[in-house]
Amino acid sequence: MQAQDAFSAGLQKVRSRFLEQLPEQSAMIRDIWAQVQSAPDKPSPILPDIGRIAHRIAGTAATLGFPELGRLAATLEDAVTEAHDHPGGIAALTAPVTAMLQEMARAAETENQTETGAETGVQTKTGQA
Amino acid sequence: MRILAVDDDPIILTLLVEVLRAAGFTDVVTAESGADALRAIDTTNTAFDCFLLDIQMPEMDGIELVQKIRGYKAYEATPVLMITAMSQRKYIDAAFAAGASDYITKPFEIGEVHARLRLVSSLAETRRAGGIPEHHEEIATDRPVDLARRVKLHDVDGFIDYLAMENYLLQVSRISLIGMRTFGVIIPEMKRVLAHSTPYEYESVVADMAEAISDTLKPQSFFAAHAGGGEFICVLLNCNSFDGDDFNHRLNETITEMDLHYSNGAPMSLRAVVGDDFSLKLKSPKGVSQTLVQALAAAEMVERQPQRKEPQKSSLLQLFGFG
Repeated sequence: MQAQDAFSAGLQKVRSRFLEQLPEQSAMIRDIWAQVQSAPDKPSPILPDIGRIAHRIAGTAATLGFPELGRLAATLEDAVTEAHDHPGGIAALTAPVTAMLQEMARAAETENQTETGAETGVQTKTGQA
Repeated sequence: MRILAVDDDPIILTLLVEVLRAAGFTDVVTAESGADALRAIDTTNTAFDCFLLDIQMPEMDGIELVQKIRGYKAYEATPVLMITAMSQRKYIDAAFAAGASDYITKPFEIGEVHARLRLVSSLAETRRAGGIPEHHEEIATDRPVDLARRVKLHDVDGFIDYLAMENYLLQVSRISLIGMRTFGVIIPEMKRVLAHSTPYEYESVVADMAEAISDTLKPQSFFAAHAGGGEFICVLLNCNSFDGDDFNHRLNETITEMDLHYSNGAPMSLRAVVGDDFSLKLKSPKGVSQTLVQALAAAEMVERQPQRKEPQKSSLLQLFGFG
C-alpha cells in the first residue's frame, strides 16, 4: 500500500510539472503561429518548433491522464509535418492549432478544479475525523 | 537490473523513473541526449542491463544511438527498448535494423512498460546465471557447441535477433503485414559437421551462412534471424510473391562460391534447403509467431523429403509413359 501511495505521489509530481509547463508551451505556440500567419506563403523555419512542442505533449499527456490533449497534440504534430512538406498548406493548420490551444487551456483549468476538489475532500475527511 | 533511460524530454525521464520504481526497478540512470548516454556508458563502473531510448532527439537520434550501443562488445546482446512516439513503419523498421530489441509507443500504458521490463529482467537473470553467453569472449572456449543457441548477427545486413524479429512483427500493424512473406532456410549438414567444432567455428559458419542469405536476398527489403543450429528464418517486407526455387538455386551458388574450409584446412561441404513461403497477411500476434514456426517446419519437411520441392511431372506425360 505504501509503495502504491509513493507511486501515486510520484506520478502526481510529474503531472504537476507537466501542467506547469503548459502555459509557457501554449504561449510559444501562439507566438510562432502568429509569425507563421504573417507570411503564410513563405516556408517557415520556425514552424517545426510547433511540431516539437506537440510531439512532447503527445508522448506524455495520455499517460498523465489527459488523453484528449494527447490526441490533439498528435494530430497537430502530423498536420505540421504535412504543412511543412507542402508549402502553402498553412491554412490547414488553423483548426488543429486552435483545438490544441483550447485543450491546453481546458487541461490546466480541469486540473485547477481537481486540485480544489481534492482539497475539499481532504478537508471533509479531516472534519469527519 | 541497471537501466539507462535516454530522452530529451525531462518530463518523460521523470515519468519513466517513477514507472520503473513502481515495478521494483530502482537502479535507473537517465540521460537527456545521445552524447550524455554514451558518456554514462563510458564512465559507469557497473554495466547496464537494459536501455530505454527515445527516437526523436536533437543531434544524435535514438536510432544512431542504438547503432553506437551495439558497437560496444559488452552491449552486443543487451536489450534495447525504444520508447517513442514515432509509430510510423519507417521508424520501426529503422530501429530494429539498427539493433533494437523491442518497441513501445508513447503514450505508453504503465502496465505494458512493467510487463516488458519484467521479461527483460528475467532474460538478464538467465544471462547472469550463465544460460545465455553475452560476449564473444565468453563463448570462445573449448566447451562443446550448443547447437540450439541463437547467434547474434548484428553485423550482417538485414539480420536481427530472433526475439527482436517477433517483436518487430508484433509491432507493425496488421495492414503492414499484408506485403510480408516468411520462409525458413536450413543447412542440414550443420549439426553433423559442427557437432565437434569449437564454438568459434560454429559462430563463424553461422555468420557465413547469414552473409550468403543476406547477399542472395538483396536488394529486397528483409529481416532475417538465426533460429539456432542450422536454421534461419527470413521475412520479406514488401513482397507479394516469392520464387523459392530460384532463391534456393542462387543461395547454393553463393555458398559454393564461398569455398568454406575448416580450421584444419579441410573443405566444408554445405548446402541450403529453402522451405515453402507463407504470407503474414493480417495475422494475429499469435498467428505471426505460429507462422514463423510453420515456415521453419516447412523447411525441415523439404530437408526430410527433398523430392517434394522438385518440379511435379505432368500427369499426362506420366500417363503416356514419359514420366
